[in-house]
Amino acid sequence: MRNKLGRTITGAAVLALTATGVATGPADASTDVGDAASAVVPDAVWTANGWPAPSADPHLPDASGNIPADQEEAPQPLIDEGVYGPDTDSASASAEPTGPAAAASVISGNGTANWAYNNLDTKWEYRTDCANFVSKALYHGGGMQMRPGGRKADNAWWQGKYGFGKSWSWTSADYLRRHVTKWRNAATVPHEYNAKVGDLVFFKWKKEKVYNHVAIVSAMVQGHARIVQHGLKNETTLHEVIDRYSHTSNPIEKVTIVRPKTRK
Amino acid sequence: MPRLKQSHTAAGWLAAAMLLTSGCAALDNSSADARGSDASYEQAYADHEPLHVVGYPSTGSLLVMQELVWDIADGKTDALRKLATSDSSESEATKTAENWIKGFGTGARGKVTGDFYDGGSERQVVVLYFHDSRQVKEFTVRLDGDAGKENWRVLMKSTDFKDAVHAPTWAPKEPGGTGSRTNNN
Repeated sequence: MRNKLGRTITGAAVLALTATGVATGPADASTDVGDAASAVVPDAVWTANGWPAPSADPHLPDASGNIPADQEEAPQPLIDEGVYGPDTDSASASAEPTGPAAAASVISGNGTANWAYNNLDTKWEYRTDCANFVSKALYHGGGMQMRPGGRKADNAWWQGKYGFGKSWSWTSADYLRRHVTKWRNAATVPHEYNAKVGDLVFFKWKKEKVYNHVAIVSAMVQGHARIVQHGLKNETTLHEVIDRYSHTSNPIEKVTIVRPKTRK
Repeated sequence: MPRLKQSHTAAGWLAAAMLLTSGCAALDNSSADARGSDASYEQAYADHEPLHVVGYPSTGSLLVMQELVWDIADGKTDALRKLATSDSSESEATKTAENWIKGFGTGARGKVTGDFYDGGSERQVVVLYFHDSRQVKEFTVRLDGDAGKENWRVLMKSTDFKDAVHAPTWAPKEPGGTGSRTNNN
């Protein structure tokens, strides 16, 4: 099977599904990518404090994600230990939508990947632009809609239309992972060969607190994922990224492939 | 009327003189600021053995590694710990800085070569070769911070001294030995 760009797509038909049609796994499941990532260790970062309550941030943007310039928040540390909870993946327990109406409410993986592939040379807006690039692909290509909310809130995902900035879930890989997992019913893909075009790939390095990189699956070739990203190489493979750091003292210890579902 | 005209002329000269004075002062200030900022880097550069470089550094990864070597050489624990990424606590960064100064201080004051692997767009693995002390050490540097406010920082989580001075088994004996490509290992 080939997509619009002629890239081979496999794996879509072999996604391991349970009887309910949903990929399942442990709450903090990472994706099995074979030997290269066999040194997966438990993540000691997450706490048992649970997810934070919906933000009471007074700087709420409107439905379009715009916030007044005078309500821009002062810089805050990106890492906020203690507010994270375990990845109780609600998506893993939700049912796959069916029918035309449901299909219209589902994020288009092909749309996401096609936008990303065709816009690889789009301007980097940040020095670490990976999440911003993926967010733009989800929005412009996948049809994922913005959600209003506080800049740092997990439930929010927006970019201002008049230069008022973007939510952290738009620009930070780890915040984006938490957003799609919790609020877009994203399912965790258990193995690399189960990945589909348009899936999001999150990377966590062993000695780093959180997931610090995200890319998009652009094609599946014999069960292996090709990815596009704003990173060291815009087009590469999942295994090339893993291999690059595999022998160093700070290897990639977790790769989590997720498939966000709901647009709203 | 002539007196008024004379008064205007005098005021004009005064204003022009004031503008010129303040203009000169502004120029002096801006010039001094610029020199001050650059001079601190240049002075630090001149005060140390230049870092020999192979591989593929970016301006950011090179600068943070130069600062790291200089701070180790000078025994500046506080300055060194401030280079840490947000991955480590303050105590972890401080202990790591102390370990590196203790372990590599002598070597850092001599010739040092940095092998910058693959590329330094957002993160990079750098191996330092301390020639005088014949030590080799791997470092990870990366852009860290809120979107739009990122800076190059060093991963500092080596609170155990042995771990802090542990030589990488994968690195070639000589800098550049694998073409500064990790995939060549």
